[in-house]
Amino acid sequence: MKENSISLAHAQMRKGMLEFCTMLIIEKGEAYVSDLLKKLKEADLIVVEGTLYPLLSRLKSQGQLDYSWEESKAGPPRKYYSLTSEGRKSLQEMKEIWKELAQSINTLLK
Amino acid sequence: MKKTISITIGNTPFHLEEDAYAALDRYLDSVRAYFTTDSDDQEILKDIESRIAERFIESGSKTITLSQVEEIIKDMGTVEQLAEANDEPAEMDQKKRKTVRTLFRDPDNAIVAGISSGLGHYFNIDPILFRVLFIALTLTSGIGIILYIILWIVVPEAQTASQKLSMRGNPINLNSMRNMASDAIRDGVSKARNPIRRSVKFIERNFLGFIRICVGITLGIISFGGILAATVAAGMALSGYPVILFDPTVAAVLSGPLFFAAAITLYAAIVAPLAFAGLCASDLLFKTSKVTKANSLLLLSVWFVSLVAAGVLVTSTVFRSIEAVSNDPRSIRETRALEVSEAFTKIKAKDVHVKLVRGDQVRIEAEGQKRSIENLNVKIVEGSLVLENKETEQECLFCYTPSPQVIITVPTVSEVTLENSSRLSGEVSGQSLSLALLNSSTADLNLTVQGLDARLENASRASLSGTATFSTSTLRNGSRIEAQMLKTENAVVNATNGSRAEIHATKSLSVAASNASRVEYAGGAVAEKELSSGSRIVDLDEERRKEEQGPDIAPDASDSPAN
Repeated sequence: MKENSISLAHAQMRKGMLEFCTMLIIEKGEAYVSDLLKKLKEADLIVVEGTLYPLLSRLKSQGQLDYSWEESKAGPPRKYYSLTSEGRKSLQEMKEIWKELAQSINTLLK
Repeated sequence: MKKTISITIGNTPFHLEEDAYAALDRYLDSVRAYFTTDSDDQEILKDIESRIAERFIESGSKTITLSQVEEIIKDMGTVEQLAEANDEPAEMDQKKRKTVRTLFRDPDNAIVAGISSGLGHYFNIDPILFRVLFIALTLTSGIGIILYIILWIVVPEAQTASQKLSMRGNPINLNSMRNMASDAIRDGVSKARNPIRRSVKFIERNFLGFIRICVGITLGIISFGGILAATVAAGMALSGYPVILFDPTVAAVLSGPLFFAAAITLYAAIVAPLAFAGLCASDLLFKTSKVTKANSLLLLSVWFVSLVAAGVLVTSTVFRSIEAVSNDPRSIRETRALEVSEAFTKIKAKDVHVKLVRGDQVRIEAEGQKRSIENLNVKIVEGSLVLENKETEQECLFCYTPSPQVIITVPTVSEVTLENSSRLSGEVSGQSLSLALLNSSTADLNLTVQGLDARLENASRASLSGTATFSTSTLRNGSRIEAQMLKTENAVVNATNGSRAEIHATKSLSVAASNASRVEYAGGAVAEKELSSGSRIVDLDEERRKEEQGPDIAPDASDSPAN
């Protein structure tokens, strides 16, 4: 029961961070899904890859992201994602919120 | 050695081992079923497929195995995991999504083509009900079998696991899929042995596609041609064509807003079922699925509404047209005396009804609708009275003015010429009458003349009675003269091209008939004949004699109790 609630909390935290972190990665430079997945997995922010696709699709339809098709040497053409100006703006706001949040959590942790 | 299956995923071809393919197919089916609420679902599915393709390529192996597929599914996440990550437990989610039942043919419980059991699933009723219904309808009117064949062609068979699940209205998720698969393996074998099913499968493999294409093309042509014709007709109706086609009074009705509404609703009422036929054709020919419940309902409601509206509007337009015509002052009937300056012995009529009355005082009277009389042109040209209906020079295609009737009281006439569907009736007496009926004119006359010269052309008809000492009848091109009641002494008949004559002559008769013409005569004259090309001459007196003898001969041949 206890473990279960911990893993649930972990999953919730991850989920809350996924959108923010995805946008952070994209901010650093155009990225395609494999890059994103690799970095997110390294940061242990994603468990199943399938959850990323609906997120990207939603951000795209909200106008925060845009993508361009690029041929790849092997395999199907890839979608390279980039932030739109609107996406940048909301990412900036998210960063502010994160800083405040981190600060208050750090205070609590002390 | 394992069987491999070639597939294309993310636009790239791959070879998969059979079990790997089955696992991947089930997985993609479940993913497809999961992502059906968003509008961007197609894109998500494509993204997932390209990612899978990428993974296949990265693996570098020529043939993809089950363990590879399982690995990818593990990374990608099952539908349950995706739903969980989305904060909605998988089961809850399935309940939220309406499980839509789809009509499929059920190959697993089929007796013939699986239509009844498919319908059973669809309406959640025991399929035996539909089986009985089809058999009953076939035995009573034969409609059952036609309906069955149509459904066989139109309704697709549930082949994949997800199709079978949506046929049953079951939620589509990995668990239900797995259950499906094991069910299929359990009872798949026994079903295939049924000989009816085997022949049905044979027909489906070899002919169903052909029939589907034939029916599809027929429906497509009906739909396309019908819509095209209806559109052209509607375009003409709305762009003021009635003015050219109809009488001005009717054309006035056929240009108001009510008429436009009538035309548009009528157009919709005609086009809606044609559009449905078009959707069916598209589904049959291109394997699209355009005949959805939504489309059918939309077209059905458009059809119903426009049919009702068109019924009301068209009826009211028709009534208004009739009213307009009958209220037209030009439609009032009247009788008007016509004056001519000179005497005449000949009459020429074009598209006019003429009635001849014997009388010493010359009088000409026109009778009929005002506009008919106004259209009548009367003049004397070289001793002949010319009556013309000006209407023959058309001003509109369906203008209809009834031919006026002209009653001519005159002591005698020597020559009557009728043209363009004119009609002549009445009495003529005098020395001789020259009668010419051209272009489907008709005459019904009582004659008291010395000589008659009748010339009938182009489907004209004459019905004559009275007396004439000698008569000459020339008939051409399907004309007909009925002159049995006209007692003549000497008659000459010349009939060609399918004409018919009935003549009464007491002294002499000379007949020349060609090209399937027929002359019947009575009166006892000796006939001089010259027949060719399937023409016939019949002596009615002799026929009658034969007929009278007939009963005498018959008893001799069959039963003769007297002898």
